[in-house]
Amino acid sequence: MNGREKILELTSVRASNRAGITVFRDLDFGLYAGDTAIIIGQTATGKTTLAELIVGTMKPERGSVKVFGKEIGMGNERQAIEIRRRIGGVGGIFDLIPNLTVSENILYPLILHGESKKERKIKLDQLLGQYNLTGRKKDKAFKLTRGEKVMALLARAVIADQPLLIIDEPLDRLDIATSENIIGLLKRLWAAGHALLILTNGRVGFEIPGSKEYQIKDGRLQ
Amino acid sequence: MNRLVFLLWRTFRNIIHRPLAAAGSFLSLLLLLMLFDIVWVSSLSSKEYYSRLLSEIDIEVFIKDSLPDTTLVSMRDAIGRFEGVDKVQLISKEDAHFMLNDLMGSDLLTGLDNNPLPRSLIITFKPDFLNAATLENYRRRLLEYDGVSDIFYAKDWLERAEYARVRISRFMLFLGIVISLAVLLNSVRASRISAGRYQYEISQLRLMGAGRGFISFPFIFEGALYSLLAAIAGWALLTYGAGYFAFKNIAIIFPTSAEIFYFCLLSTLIGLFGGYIGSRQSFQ
Repeated sequence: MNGREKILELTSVRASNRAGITVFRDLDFGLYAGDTAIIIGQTATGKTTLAELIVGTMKPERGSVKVFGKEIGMGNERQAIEIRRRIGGVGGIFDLIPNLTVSENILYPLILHGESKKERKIKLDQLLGQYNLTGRKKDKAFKLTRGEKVMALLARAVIADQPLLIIDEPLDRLDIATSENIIGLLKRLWAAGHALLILTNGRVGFEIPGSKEYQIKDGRLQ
Repeated sequence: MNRLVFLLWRTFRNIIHRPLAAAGSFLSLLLLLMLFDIVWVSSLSSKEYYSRLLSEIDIEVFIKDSLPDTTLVSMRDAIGRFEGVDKVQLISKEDAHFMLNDLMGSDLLTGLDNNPLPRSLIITFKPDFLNAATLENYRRRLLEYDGVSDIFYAKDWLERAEYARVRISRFMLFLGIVISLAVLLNSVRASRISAGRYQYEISQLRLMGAGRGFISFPFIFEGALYSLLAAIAGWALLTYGAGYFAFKNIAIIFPTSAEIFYFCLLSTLIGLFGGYIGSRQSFQ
């Protein structure tokens, strides 16, 4: 259509959340590489379910979920693993591992990709600087402030150059200065070619050029 | 290689972060495996003792006085050719008299005109033929000879000893199964507890694209490591402890180095399997 890869394609999806409540009845949604979509929905309208469908930890009751052109679901674990390695996540289901240090948390995707220690160190030092985490690199994740946690998650989400980032409530409970800092980082990530899927329960409060906003209503995106 | 080093680091981190749980798992496995070691050593030692006693068993065939000596010599030679017979010794009436004197310390036949003691053949057997069924078979064959008045061997003792040996073997097998199962369940439980503690980390690893192997490795390795260390420590303690014990008639017999090696290997495999089963729960 526009020459770019369609990295996300949900077709006629019917799905329930973990509580068994049907949140999507006939969901159609697509996202191209480098695009930004903002999904707005109240609590329990299916934002987390949408993230889980995309990473394949939940299976749709009907319809198909294609990520990077491949069907993801509980059936093909190998394919799901490959897809998940190309997705970075911040907030919601994506969290830091509390008892690991900031560095260890950020490095995990590179270890899974099998990158060398030297390569890991170069990328880590670079990202710690960019995300103002250099002084916190040896601290355990549970000691971080909310803002630092989002920064560390963003660093982890992009360290392996993941093309798709799922960002759940990025500015929730953050002060203005930290929010602006994170908005700046998100814009830079968009500019660097990452596709952003932002999930929020209200307006995000910032704009990313070319982004599309969707409302979850009656089990559909409008 | 990098991933392997990282996974090993994760395993040791899991162990170090839960020292009490790790020590509990290790010690319970040590006790279980040591119990098996002790029963194994006891079984080997009693088997050796039994074999020694068995080697002293022979059949004594008493001969009628009416049988001519020449026929007795032919009979001795014929019996010597039986399969499994090691040696046939002819005991003359004079030899029997001498042996009785030696046994009793005085001549009980003084005053008698004739030596009433019968001639006999003492038959000893090769070790593989020393069992109740085979000796009974020999007894029947020997009874077919003319001139045989009676046959004696420690039949009751042999049957009781064999019965005890079968019981010990069955007990060993039963204990082996129970202990293997206990080791397996112990590893499963330890692995489940460990995986349960790291459930949050596991869920995040899955979201980042970690495979089952990557996630399970530390738990599987942990299970195998505990079992291996417990098996080695068990034999080391038992070897050390055996130096402080000595029995009058029973020698303490240990399995061969190869058998101990395979035992440790099998324990490790059981631990590994237990770790695998235990960590599977983390994927539910």
